[in-house]
Order: sequence, then structure tokens, then C-alpha cells
Amino acid sequence: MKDKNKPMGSKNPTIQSMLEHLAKDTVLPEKVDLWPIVRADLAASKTLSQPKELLMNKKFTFTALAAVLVLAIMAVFLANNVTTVSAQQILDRAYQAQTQTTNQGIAHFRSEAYDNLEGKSDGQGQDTIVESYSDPTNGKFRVVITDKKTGNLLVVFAFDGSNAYNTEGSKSGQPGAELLIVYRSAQDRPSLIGTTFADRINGTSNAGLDAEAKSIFDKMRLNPHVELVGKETWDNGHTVYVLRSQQEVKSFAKNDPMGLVTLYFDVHTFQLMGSSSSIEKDGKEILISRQQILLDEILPASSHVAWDLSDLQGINIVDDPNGEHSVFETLAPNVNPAKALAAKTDSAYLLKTVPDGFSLEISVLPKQPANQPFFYQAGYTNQAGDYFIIRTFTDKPLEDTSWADETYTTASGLVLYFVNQPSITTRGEEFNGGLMQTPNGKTYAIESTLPRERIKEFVEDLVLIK
Amino acid sequence: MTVKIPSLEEKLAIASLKQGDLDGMAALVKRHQVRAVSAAFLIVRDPKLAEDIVQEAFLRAAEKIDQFDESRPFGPWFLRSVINASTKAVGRQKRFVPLDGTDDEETSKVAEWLMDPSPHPELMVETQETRQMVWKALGELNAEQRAVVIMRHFLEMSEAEMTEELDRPLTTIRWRLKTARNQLRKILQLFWKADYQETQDER
Repeated sequence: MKDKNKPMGSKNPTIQSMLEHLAKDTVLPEKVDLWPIVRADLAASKTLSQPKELLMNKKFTFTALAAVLVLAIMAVFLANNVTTVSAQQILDRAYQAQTQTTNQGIAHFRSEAYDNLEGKSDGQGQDTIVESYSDPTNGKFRVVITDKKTGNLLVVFAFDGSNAYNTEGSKSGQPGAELLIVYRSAQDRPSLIGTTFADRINGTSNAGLDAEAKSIFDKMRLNPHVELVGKETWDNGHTVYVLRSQQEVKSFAKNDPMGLVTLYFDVHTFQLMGSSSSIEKDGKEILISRQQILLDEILPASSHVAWDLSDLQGINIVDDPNGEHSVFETLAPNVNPAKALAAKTDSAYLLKTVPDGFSLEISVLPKQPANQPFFYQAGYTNQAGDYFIIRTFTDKPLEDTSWADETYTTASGLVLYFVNQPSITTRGEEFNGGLMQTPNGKTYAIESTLPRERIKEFVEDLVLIK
Repeated sequence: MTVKIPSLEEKLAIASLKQGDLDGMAALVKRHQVRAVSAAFLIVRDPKLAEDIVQEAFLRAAEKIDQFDESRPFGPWFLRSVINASTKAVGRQKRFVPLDGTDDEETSKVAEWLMDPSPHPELMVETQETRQMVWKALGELNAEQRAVVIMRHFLEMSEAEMTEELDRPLTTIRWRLKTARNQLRKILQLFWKADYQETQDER
């Protein structure tokens, strides 16, 4: 008698192989990732989003509740003793947590950062404490960075709704150093493009870490070889999952770009709480960077925050009525910035169309200096933290271009001279850019985290605004 | 079929899904998505539509997970809905017109290769050309015939599994498989002849 559980007839490996190949020619296994969509569908499903007990027959409710109670007690017991999730589950949940931004109220973060891009040994990098407040509803923010060892203020910038405050560069945190000068100028809203804190201050992320940590996170999500090291509890009482993988580490000291990156996720909320990266140098593991969130809270919208920095000791606020030390002011953030720019100048270049996934922010100097070209900055940024910035440089042609390591000329005659300099910024981002000369002899600066080939595509799309 | 034994990971995933933890679905999606999308694609022949079908099938599976017997593998249970949804999707498209099922008894190398378990040596070699023939031939079958071929040759299901998965009597499945084979044989024979003729013309 024929066994119904056996395949019919003889197996034909060739036709099976052909079908496999036919499928693989189009359905690339590495490209199939339905989970983000399925997860979103599941979350949106009314049936599934209902708590299970609501779907139960009432007569079983008490039994079910008792069972849930027992399970809950067991869950607490287990959570304290074993790691019950996989690295991939943690990354998935963290991704979910990141996308659920809640921006009602004032975001308050305190984090600790260690930077050692030069790869110095024995913890010779800089340890800083960053404290920020931001209210995305009105654009107010304040960021104060202090040296962890000395407690001295290093960098301050803020916006109180009518004035922008900024230090020009940063001051070394030597004990007994003079007061930190903070320039105050009247502004509608300062630009934050390219700053480490842009995402959190603009309310586009509720994770109080910078683009570098998010970039590590994104790469880790795509990496199948992520190790769940375990849990650890920090000094401030936070218990976190520790995930580690090999990844390219940005540093000035790299011979081999590969290093070890570690991410820390809150065991309850799955929020990204910190990151660190290290490289191996001369047989030793060197810590290149570390970030750790010490505090992450949303304050009520009515909370008092000294947006004008009036509570800070060790600073000297100096008025800057002509905006000589001013940061860029964001142009018409809520309307059409390109149109607003065109009303002010006819010598600005913008991309013909805003690339998919990018948004445009245009900034100008609040007070344009006399006898100088019109200073503007157009920044295109995406969710991943990549940006392409063009800004005024000079209205004269370049006299010396010998510093350029590559020249690219667009179809419209724009010439881009790529600058040959260290390939990462002090923020640890890949840097690409240079100076662009127009056919009529004006020069613009280009700065971007994108690869050169992508920058060339962007420059091809630049047009003089009308 | 590659995945027939429920793994511990799969059992845990289903158990947590039954308890209302939607993330339990993640392991199931990751384990079965490529096979499911590939099978759907071979039936509907549209990769985007195949992904949509599988995505919806996962959602339906999560909704009906309480009906699923955990002692059995998730794969065949899940693939049933993928195969059924795929054939329905093709039905909605109405762009595949089946050929007349007349069985041409003339022997051809391709037909023998399809039907005979000990085929001609030269046809055992998988080439781009023979693969394209099979692709074209599959396209000429109707959706249900194609589904049977995919279940048999791609998912390697047994008669019993196919009967269960398609929710049809065994005789119907056998009939469909026979029809599908005959159709394929006939169609491939035509392709083979055309190919042969082209080669002769070139000479």
C-alpha cells in the first residue's frame, strides 16, 4: 500500500534545482525582510492589539487572571536570573521603541561621553557631561557641556525663543580658566544642522544619543552576527542588555577599520541607552568613544527651564547686536524655505528637487555683513543622520586649488574641488566635501557625510534659485 | 520541504504569540519568509505581489494562532494559506490562460525528462536555457496546476500533505498533478521543438 506521507513518484532534483534557481533569481533571500511590515500590521490589527483576556470567555476570566498572576511572578523570577531574549529580539524591540517618539513636554537628557578619536592609550581622551533640555513645540533648547574631570564649562548653546546663545568654539577645561564668553544675538530660530544634538532637540528622536550611536545601531540591525553579552547594572541603577558586534570604527588611529562596538538597551523599555567602540592597537584594546545616558525624562510642558542660561555660573554673556558671532538662523522653518531664500538673494544654489528621504533646512546670517556676499546655508538631512550642506564661501574665484585631491565638473560647468584632509570630523562622522566654483567665479563650500559619488550626483542637481 | 520539524525556537515563538506577545512572530517570519515568498512568486510570478501575499498570510496566521496545534510544524500550516492566497491572487489577475490539456504522446527529450525518473543525460544538465523553458512552461499552466507543481517539486510535499494543505481529496490532487505534468510536458515539448528548430535554422 502506498505511503501517503512519502512524496509522489521519484524525486527529480533537476527540476527542483531549477525552481530554486528561478525563485532565487528574483527573490533574493538577503533582501527579504518582511518583519518590519508584518510587525507594523500586527500592531495596527484591532484583533491582535486587544488584550488577550478581553477575548476570553468571561467564565474563564478568574482562572486566567490567576494564571497570569502566576506567570507574572515567574516572569519576574526568571528576569532576575536568566536572559530570556535574543540579540535580534532586543534590536527589533529597540527599533520599535525608537520609532515611538513622544514629544509632549520638555525633553531632558543627561549623558556622559568619552571621546578618544586619536586612539590615545590609558584613557587620555576627553570625558564630558552633556545636559540638554529641548521643547520641540517652540524650538527652545539649551545644551551645556562640561568637562567631567574639572567641572569647567566647555561649550554652551541655547535658544530662549528670541535670542540665540553660543560660545565660539570650545574652551579647554583648565582649572582657573577665565569665564566662558557666551554671545547673545536676537534670532527667530538658530540652525542645528550638522550638530550632534539636532535630532533630539528637533524632537525627531527620543533617544538622547547622537547620530554616531544611531549609525552603530542601524548597522547592528543588519548584522546577523550580533552577540548578546548579557545584562549589566550601571551606577545609576539602570539595568541594560549588552549587545556586541564587529563593525567599522571611525577613528584617526585606524590601520584596520574594524573594531568592536557595543550597544546598551534598557531591559524594560528597550531604549538605546549607550554605545561604545574600541579598536585594537599594538595588541591592546583602545576605547575610542563611549556614550551613556544617565538621565532621560520628559518634563511637563509647564516646567521652568532657564533657557536664557541665567542660572549658569562661570559664563559671561556678551551681547552681539550685529550678529558677528552668531550662528545661522533657520529660515522660515514652517513654510517654503526655498521661496523665502529667493526673496532675499539671487546668488544661492539649491538642489532642483529635495532628494527622497531628505528634508531641507535653509539658514541665513541674521544680519548680513556689508560688502560681503550673501551668507546662507542649505542643509539636506535624512533620518539616518546623513547630510549634504552647501553654503556661501566667497564671491571671488579660487586662486589656488592645489590642495584638492579630486576635481569634478558638472554638466552645467560647476567645478567641485574635493578637499584632501582627515576623513572624519571631530564628531566622528565621515567627512567629504570641498569648495565649488561657479562659472561666474563665485565659490561655495560643500560638506557632507555622503560618499563622493553621491555628492557628485547632488552637485549635478544644483541650480541657481530664482 | 526544508522545514518540517518544529524547532524549540519555533515552539517558543508560537507559545509566546499565543500568550499575546506579538514579537513571538518575529522568529516565525524570519524562519519562513524566504521559502514562502519564493513559493508565492513561482505561482504569481510577481515578486512584489508575492511579498504582499506572504505578509498578509503572516498577519492571518497571527490572528488564527489559537487554532494552531503546537505539536505540529508551523511551516506546512502556514504555507497552505500562502499557496491558497497565491492561487486566488492569480485568479483575480485573470491573465493566465491555460492551454488545452490534450496529451501529446509523441516522445520528446524534454517531455521524457519531465516524466521519466531516469532521463536523458544531456537533460540532466541544468542550463539557463532549460531553466527558462521551465519558467515559460510554468507560466502557461493555470494557477492551481502551478500550485501543485510548486508544492510537489519546490516544497517537496507528500501527497498527504498536499491533500491537507490544499484541503482537497487525494484523487483531485493526483488528477491535478497529472494534468499539470501533462501540461508542462506538452508546453516544454513545444519550447524544445522551437529551440531545436532555431538551432537547425542557424546551421
